[in-house]
Amino acid sequence: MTGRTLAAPAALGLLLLAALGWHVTAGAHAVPIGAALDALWSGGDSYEAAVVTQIRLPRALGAVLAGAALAVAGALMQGATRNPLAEPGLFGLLAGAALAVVAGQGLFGIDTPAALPVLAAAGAAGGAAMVLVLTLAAGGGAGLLTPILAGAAVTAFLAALTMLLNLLDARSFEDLRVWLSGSLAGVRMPLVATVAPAVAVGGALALAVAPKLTVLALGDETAQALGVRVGRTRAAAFAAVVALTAGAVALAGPLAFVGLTVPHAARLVFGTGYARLVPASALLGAVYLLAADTLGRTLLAPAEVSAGILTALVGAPVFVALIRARA
Amino acid sequence: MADAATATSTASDISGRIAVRGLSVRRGDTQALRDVDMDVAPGEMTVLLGRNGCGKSTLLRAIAGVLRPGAGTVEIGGVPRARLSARKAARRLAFLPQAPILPEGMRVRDLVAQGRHPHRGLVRHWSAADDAAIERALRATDVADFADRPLDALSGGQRQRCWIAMTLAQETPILLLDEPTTWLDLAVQLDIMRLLARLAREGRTVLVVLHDLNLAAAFADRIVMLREGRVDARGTPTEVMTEATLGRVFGLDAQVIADPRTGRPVCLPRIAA
Amino acid sequence: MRVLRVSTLGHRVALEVPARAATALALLCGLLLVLLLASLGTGSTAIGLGEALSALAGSASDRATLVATEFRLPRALTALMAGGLLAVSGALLQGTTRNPLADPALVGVSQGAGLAVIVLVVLVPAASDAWRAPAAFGGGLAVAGVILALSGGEARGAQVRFLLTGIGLAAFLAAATTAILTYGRITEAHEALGWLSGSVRAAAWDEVRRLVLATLAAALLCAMAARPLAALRLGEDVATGLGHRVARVRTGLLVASVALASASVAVAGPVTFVGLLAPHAARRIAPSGPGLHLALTWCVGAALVMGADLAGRAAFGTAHVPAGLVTALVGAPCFALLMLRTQRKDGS
Repeated sequence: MTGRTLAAPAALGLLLLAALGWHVTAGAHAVPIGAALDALWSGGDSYEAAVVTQIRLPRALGAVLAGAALAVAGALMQGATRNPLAEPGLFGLLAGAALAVVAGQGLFGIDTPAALPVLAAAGAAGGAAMVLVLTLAAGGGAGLLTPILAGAAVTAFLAALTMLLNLLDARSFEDLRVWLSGSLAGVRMPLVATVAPAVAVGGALALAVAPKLTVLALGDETAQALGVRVGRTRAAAFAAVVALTAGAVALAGPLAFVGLTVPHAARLVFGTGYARLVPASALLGAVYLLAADTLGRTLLAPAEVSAGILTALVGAPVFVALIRARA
Repeated sequence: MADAATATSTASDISGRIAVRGLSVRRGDTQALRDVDMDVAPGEMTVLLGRNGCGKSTLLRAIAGVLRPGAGTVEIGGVPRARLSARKAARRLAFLPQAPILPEGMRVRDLVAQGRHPHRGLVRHWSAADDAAIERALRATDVADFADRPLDALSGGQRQRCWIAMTLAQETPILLLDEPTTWLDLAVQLDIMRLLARLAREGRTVLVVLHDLNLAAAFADRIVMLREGRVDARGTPTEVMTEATLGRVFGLDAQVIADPRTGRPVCLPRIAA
Repeated sequence: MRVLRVSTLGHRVALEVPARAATALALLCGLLLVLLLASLGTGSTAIGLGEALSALAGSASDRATLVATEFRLPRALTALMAGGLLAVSGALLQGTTRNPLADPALVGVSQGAGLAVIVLVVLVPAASDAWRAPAAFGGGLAVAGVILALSGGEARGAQVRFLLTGIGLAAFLAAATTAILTYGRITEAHEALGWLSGSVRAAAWDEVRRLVLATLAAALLCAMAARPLAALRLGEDVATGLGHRVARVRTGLLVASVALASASVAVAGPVTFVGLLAPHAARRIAPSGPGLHLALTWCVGAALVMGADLAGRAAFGTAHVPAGLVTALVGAPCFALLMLRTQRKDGS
């Protein structure tokens, strides 16, 4: 490897460390970096140590996992559908996962952390399937518009159902409202530990399928001629996307547009080859969500803006810019 | 239809005249028309010809009022186009664009009735004159038999005749048509051209953009050839369709012969094996 | 299609009325009346039909009169007129953009109007409610302008860009609204939250008066819009050839559409899918020219929102499910069906 190919990943790694440091030290109660490192290294029972290890560290790890997972999920979806606007939120996965979690908790009283990713995965798969069926029924959806409209219809319907369940169960409403806006506020270590395997499995599958997605960009027939089994590749990508999305939703609720913004930003530096794009998106997604969450905690302190609001405020203009460039 | 002609021919000598003077139109970064002068006379079919992008559609659209000229004037029957209200202009010239939008589920008669718009009022939606004009237009274009069918159920040629019927129902002395024969079968193209030629003979001013040289030569009374936004040649088909002009305007190496039956010029491209 | 012709005043007024559409209009008005009476009777205090009618006449028991005339009647009338305005706004937007899927709530116009109202409520709590409608109009107009500026350019693909840009803007505005609610004080935020979900629960006679004015303006606009809309269906060039000043007409229709949607949003919040569905439903019910179609659309929209408010009250007891939620639950699947139809046709 030449120095140049290594420079960008190394820079991303450093950026991730810096974002982690910022996230753990900044906030309503600022902790100097030395004290933070000390608390992480040797524990201790000071107030600062508790803030760092009990609250901020789990939250930072949650942001790393959720950001990486959504970014990779978005990249995989863009590759598998050849639609540059594909992303878990716009294609109905986030709304499906959110509804499944709310229904599981509100209707069936399931609230063990271990059940969260499973519920979210079922919902994400359901939402994606609805969008997929609608898009195929509308004639394949080679264009940009059809899947987005299908996603908008499915998202509106599922979000209305979620809202209805919330209204009928006032108790869960207050707890879930913050989570539903895409927030890492409630993340604790046990949740991170339950979700990590799902994200790891999804990530491994993503890395395995990535080189084939690069070939798929040339069209199904060309990919087939080059020895890629198109159907199987798409199925594997779909499985990875569902696992990754489920992990992210279980941690942080529906975070809009992360899966759109990050892969497109990564493409600017790392090009269109998915073998590099997938790991780069993972790193950049982690940095992005860490930064969004830190900003959300500090911008209007003591009030807290959910990370999901910030990612939407950044992501929606990115979406519009992509449309201007491509449609 | 004789009565269709009387509706317009009495005043056609004055009101059907188009005079274009020093017309220039910019489209985006390019100068689509530069200093164009052109006169179009009633009772004739005038055909605009030229390569893609030469400005022939732009010229037609500027006369129709769809595009605004940067400089120069268009006079309709002696009155500057800019001085006519939109409604008055629509009573003097009818315009059929190249690929008009097909509204879902609209019946033929409803489409043709739209042509009466410039003759109607805010709360006066029908009159005996409207009904008569619509009937005449339907019969003149041979679409009266399926007047109650929806447009989407018709063939391309039938549909094009319906659009022409709409412009006829406007009862204007001037007809402007942008490539009315494109995408149609050859037999249908000839049908449409015969219809337009008849309308011209009956006294209307017919100004058409075409891209088929031989179709233009076979039917036009007058041809205006444009090159890079300027008028390059004008005259009768025999005057304009020469090997030198075709080479200059179309970059075409062609032999021009006379049709043994009609005497009109026919262009035969020389194809090197 | 049977058409009745009417001519009076020495043929200065001469109208064509399709028989089926006129019948449908009469039936829809009857439906609206039934829904209105049902709205008066339904709620935590049950009021019988006879009692509701006599309450309107002022001869029922005090309690029934109070509930019927001070709470339920303004609420029902607000739902009716907010729905009608939104529906007509959607029809005008679809007509001027020639996009069958255009809807003020899908492309962010409603959200822009909503954001402006939220900003007003949170930042200037002292402002009178009467300022909400102008604020909403400003917000909606700004969004419409931004969409047009961003989705302009070559005509090819302009419709796709219009919709997609609007969807993106709607997401942005929704996020911005939530952010402002985070910043605002909890009581104002709470009030705003109920309104944002599309509810007519708190409507009183003040709102009704404002909506009546807006509805009268809407009727006038519709009378003027009918003929240009008919011509625009044939495309801009043909409409120009027929003697319409297309640029002016389209701007006018767009501003009118935004104004009507804003008037509705200012009172009832951003109710989704009504502006999208009502024009299509009206077209299905009876084919007609644009004028009668707008009237049918108004009735369908009014019935949709009043029905949704009624269903939200009747079906879920004390949970107070807002009308906007019911229209979303019903509207989203209809939107999907509509999308299947339009996209299939585009693809073929």
